[in-house]
Amino acid sequence: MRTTLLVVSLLIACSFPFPVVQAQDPPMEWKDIPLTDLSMSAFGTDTSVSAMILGDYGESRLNNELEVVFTRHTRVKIFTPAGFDWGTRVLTLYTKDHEETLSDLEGATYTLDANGEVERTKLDRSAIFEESVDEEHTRYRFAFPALKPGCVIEYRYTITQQSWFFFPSWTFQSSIPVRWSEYRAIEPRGLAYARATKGYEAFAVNEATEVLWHFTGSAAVYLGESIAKCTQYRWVMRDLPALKEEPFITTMDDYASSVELQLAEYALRGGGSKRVLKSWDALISELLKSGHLGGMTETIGPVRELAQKVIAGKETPFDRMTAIYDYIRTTLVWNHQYRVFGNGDLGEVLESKKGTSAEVNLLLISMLRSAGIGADPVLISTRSNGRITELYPLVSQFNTIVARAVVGGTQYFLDATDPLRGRDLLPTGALNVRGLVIQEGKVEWVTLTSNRKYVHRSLADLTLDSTGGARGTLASVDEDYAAFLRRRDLVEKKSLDIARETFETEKTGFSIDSLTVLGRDSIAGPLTITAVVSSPAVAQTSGEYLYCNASILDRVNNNPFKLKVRRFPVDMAYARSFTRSTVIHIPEGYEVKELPRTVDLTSGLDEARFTRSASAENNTVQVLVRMSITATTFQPSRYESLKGFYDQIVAAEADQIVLRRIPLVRPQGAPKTVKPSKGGKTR
Amino acid sequence: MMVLQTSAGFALLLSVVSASAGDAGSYDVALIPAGLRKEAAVVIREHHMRLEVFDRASAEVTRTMAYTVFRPDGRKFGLCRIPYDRFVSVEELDGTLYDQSGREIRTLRSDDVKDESNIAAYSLYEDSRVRTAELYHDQYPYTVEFRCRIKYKGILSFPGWAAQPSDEPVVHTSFEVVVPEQEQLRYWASADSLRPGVTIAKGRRHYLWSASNLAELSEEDMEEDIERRTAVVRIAPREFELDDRPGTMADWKSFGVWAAALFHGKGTLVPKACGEVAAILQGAATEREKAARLYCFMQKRTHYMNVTLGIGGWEPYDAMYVYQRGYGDCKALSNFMVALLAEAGIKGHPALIDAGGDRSVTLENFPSPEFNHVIVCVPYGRDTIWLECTSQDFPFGYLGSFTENRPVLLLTPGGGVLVRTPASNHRDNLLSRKGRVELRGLGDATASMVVRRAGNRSETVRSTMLHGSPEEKERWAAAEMGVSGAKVRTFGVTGVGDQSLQIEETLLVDLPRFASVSGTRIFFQPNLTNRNATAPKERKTRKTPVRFSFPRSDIDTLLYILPRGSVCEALPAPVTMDASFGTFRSSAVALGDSAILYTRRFDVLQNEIPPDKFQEYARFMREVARADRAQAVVRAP
Repeated sequence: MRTTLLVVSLLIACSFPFPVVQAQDPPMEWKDIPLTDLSMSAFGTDTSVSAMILGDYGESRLNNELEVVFTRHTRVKIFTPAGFDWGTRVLTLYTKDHEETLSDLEGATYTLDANGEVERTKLDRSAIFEESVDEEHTRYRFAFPALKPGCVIEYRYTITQQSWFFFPSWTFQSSIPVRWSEYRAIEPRGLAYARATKGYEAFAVNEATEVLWHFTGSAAVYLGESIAKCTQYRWVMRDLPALKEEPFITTMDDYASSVELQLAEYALRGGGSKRVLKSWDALISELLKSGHLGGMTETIGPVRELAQKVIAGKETPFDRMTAIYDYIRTTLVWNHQYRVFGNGDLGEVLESKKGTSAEVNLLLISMLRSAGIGADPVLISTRSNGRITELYPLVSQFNTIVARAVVGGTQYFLDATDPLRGRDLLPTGALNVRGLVIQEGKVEWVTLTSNRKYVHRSLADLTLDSTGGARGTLASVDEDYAAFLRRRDLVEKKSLDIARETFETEKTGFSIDSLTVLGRDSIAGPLTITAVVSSPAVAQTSGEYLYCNASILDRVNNNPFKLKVRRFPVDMAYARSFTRSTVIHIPEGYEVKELPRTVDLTSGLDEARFTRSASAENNTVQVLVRMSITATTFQPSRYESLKGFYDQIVAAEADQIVLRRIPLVRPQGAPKTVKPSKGGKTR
Repeated sequence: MMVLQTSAGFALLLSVVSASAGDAGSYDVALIPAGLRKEAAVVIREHHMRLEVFDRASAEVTRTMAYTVFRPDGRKFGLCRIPYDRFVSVEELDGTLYDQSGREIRTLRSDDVKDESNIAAYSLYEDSRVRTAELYHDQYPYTVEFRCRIKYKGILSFPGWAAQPSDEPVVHTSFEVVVPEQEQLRYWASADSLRPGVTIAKGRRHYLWSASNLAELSEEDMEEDIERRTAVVRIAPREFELDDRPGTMADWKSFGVWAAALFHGKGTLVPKACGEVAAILQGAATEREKAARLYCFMQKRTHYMNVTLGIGGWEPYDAMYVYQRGYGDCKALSNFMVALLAEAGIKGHPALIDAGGDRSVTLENFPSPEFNHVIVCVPYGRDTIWLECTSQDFPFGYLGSFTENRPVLLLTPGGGVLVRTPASNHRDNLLSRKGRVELRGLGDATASMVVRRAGNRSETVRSTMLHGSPEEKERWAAAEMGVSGAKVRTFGVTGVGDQSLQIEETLLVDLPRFASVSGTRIFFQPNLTNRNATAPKERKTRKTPVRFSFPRSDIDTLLYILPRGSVCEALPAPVTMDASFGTFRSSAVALGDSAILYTRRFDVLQNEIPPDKFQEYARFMREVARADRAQAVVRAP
């Protein structure tokens, strides 16, 4: 009995590759939780930290079947009940055709009891739930038992992945502080992986050492030796601060420190090696050959026929391009999945009329080509997916495809996934990102831009009565991005609600007596919302005076920038332009005593400007405000100016129009003219 | 046969007609009655649901749903979702795409159908999945038709029917229920006139409701409760069986017997737990004191985690499971609490309730399992204690707007007893703010405030104060001021961790640009703290009450110290309003030249304002909003 056991365990030991010389110790020992970690009651002096990662250790290597084996061992300290969320972990695996499998998942919660004894409560098998999400994914959820403030949870698992094209990537930083994060990748000589690192934090260790590993099975056959030289990469980061969300950013992933690995080359059994990842050049030719990308841009019979129908009667290439874009936009249903590769079957996409971003836009490209318009796929990474590194030709950096069409020497970037978005607008997520054109014979990087802005105009034309109430018309005109975003709102919300939001009726106190919405059902041209309104209190009365704030609509009374300093650039996606005209007809028997100041603010920025002018004529006051921001990105060094710009606007927006009842008998020689306030201007 | 919608709200077709669709050309767009579509993106051509009950444990639903899509924004009707679980299986799911003239283009293929997990985001695990099918076309208008057959392998509840479930116009809809001839269907209808056509054939009794040509509902209509804007029928079994557990639902008592049985035998505690209970109870004099200590123990030992498996929507995990793992869902935690109470010799009952939202859908006279939550009741007559077991922060005996003032089914040893949870009154939910605001010449101000919150008003802040980061707490405190840019200088809070219902905050806040300076005048809204009053949208008629989560009282007292040498030029006029649903007072008085005292008191006495009082309420709120925005004008020195 004893012998059998020994034999079995030997066999098991032999079925895994193992290092010939004892490898460097892992940074943490399973089950060995230092008492100091258990008794620690807070993260230093910062009681706001609900949990921290004490240690996170991952290792990737090949097994004897030439599969990638990724093991992870994580230890989390929970300080407060708000940190209990860390007691439930979720792993989502790509399980189509058993590509990834999870094994050896185990864990436990450690606490100190009243006598200072360590209590260990195991993660029960029945607390691990396997959920088949869809045909491609399986999710594992597990909840740790016996959580209480001060506890430490520890877990480890293994994911085996059939394809050795990629090693799992590793993210060092988290939304909670990290004390130690370490990743090791062990690559047998003959397999070379390209590495891309990003982030703002420095490595404590970043080294590569030579080690010898013992392999059997296919690995030994492939490597041609059972004791193989390997390179062990080791990356360590320590004492990382929590990554906190800031407004106006692309994605936090752009700022989290991480490592990505993709196979670059492998040795051939007969000698020599095959370069998998040579250059962007090579990647592009592979993608062009792929039936799931390049293959889906080719013109096929049904697509050609359809294209001919769609462009019937369209004479110019430009009109043909627009017709095809509009056809795809209104008839293909995007399933809200971003993909770089399609299903490989253009006919199926055409038949089902639905698909991923790749499928929708690859069909668009195929149709454009069928109509004789030059079009190529452009790989991009949307703003929420993070910036790409042009240093390494890693396809995994991208998450979607758009089309580039060239008509009359001009290039047009097209993405037909949204029925409400016109040809000349890109999705916000694709604005100002770098894209790689997938075309024969050259490596071309492009920056996706749109000359369209966020344009909003508003008009208030109100007749004031002597009690401070007013009646009149409010109008809001949106163009380009503003129109697109508001139209999208209108699909989900009711027009009355949209009008109430637009005119901020809660703040301004207007009731909407009637309402017109123009341009709601077309995607081109402006969207105009006009309302006839009344309010019992637009102006404040006081004895012989009436006071009225000149900024009836869209008043900026809040600085969107609240942080003292900013580490990351402010990213506004598109340029903005606002115009606001306010016309107030003053009640009979009143005269204008004061007008809002004339202002022209830039706060030292070339790309931002706020101007206001005010005039009074024939019992009518008119205030005109213009604001424009022409840049889409502001570096942290300009943050203070930008913040100051808004501070000045908020202050200027407080200015009032002061009206005074004209005395019934005008004293002799009293001035009749309007007296402007400091800096004010009259015509 | 067509019956047009009447002013009464809907029309009924009492004769039995075959609802089968799909005859060649029957989905011809030209057959949509003139004037029915107007601007709609989609017209519902056919909604038919047939429920056949075979016996108390099995039933079958067949449905036909057909939509004509006129524009891209109606394409979403081409996605059909059928949720299912262990007791419900999707036997058939078919679909057909028709062109404008009703000619078949193609039928659903296997590629169009997907099977996905359907677990709610807040759950650790549930046994729920969804089958989806999609059909789209590139020539508008087109019609999609889905047909499905769903088998019930265990019965607790049945799907109901709404003649017009969304705002889209409806050509024809019907609901047919078939039961064995000797049985009478239990149903509830939203109007007395909603009587089904009843026929008997081949030993089966058929009930049929139907309606035709229902015009698109307006935005205003859609704000009404569903049963106030369209015909709604709910049905429930008399006898049922789920997972081999038979029960009856004809009355609350017997349904309670069934539900209580799911808790039987699940209250055993291990000796170690019993020892802990004994230690906790030492020195506790009264039962109330004991219950309070046990509730506190339960809160410290556990947290909420939803795990729903099999009959798990109704059956709790046992007390040992919760004791060992330290988590559970509402049933498991309530069961654990009842077990702790039992260990102390105190009788407690699990109680089923429809929690959340502004209204409960539980119908007191129509027993049906319209519950989504479990709490614990410790009956002491007028001093009955209610315990919410999924919160780690609630004071002992506090329910809050999630469960207060609604029907609740106590699961007693004698069966179900339907009672109501207590309702709070406006005084229970008091928010009072006292402050001294020093105004400076440039419009900046500094306010020192004392804020007291009671009852429901303390709920959100309690969890922020207990679990929030210092930044979150500060953000909360700053947001309390009605002006933007408030900066909190010092901040203290008491009463959060203890079992009292009142929280007190003291804070010192800088209010940059609180007042607007225009020329020689300073303008400001004396109502600094309570600026959010809004009037409801204007509308001519309303059928649904205006609902609030709870009645409430707000008292604001603010003393403004003006810059030296300034003169008060204008103050808001005092406002006094009294109505059956509430009272409002506000006033600002000058105290010499140096100070202004502003007071505001707003009591909302009811949590529901009946539809016939709507116009009065809207006028009332417009005046409140106006008074709240009134400005004071001070002439600068």
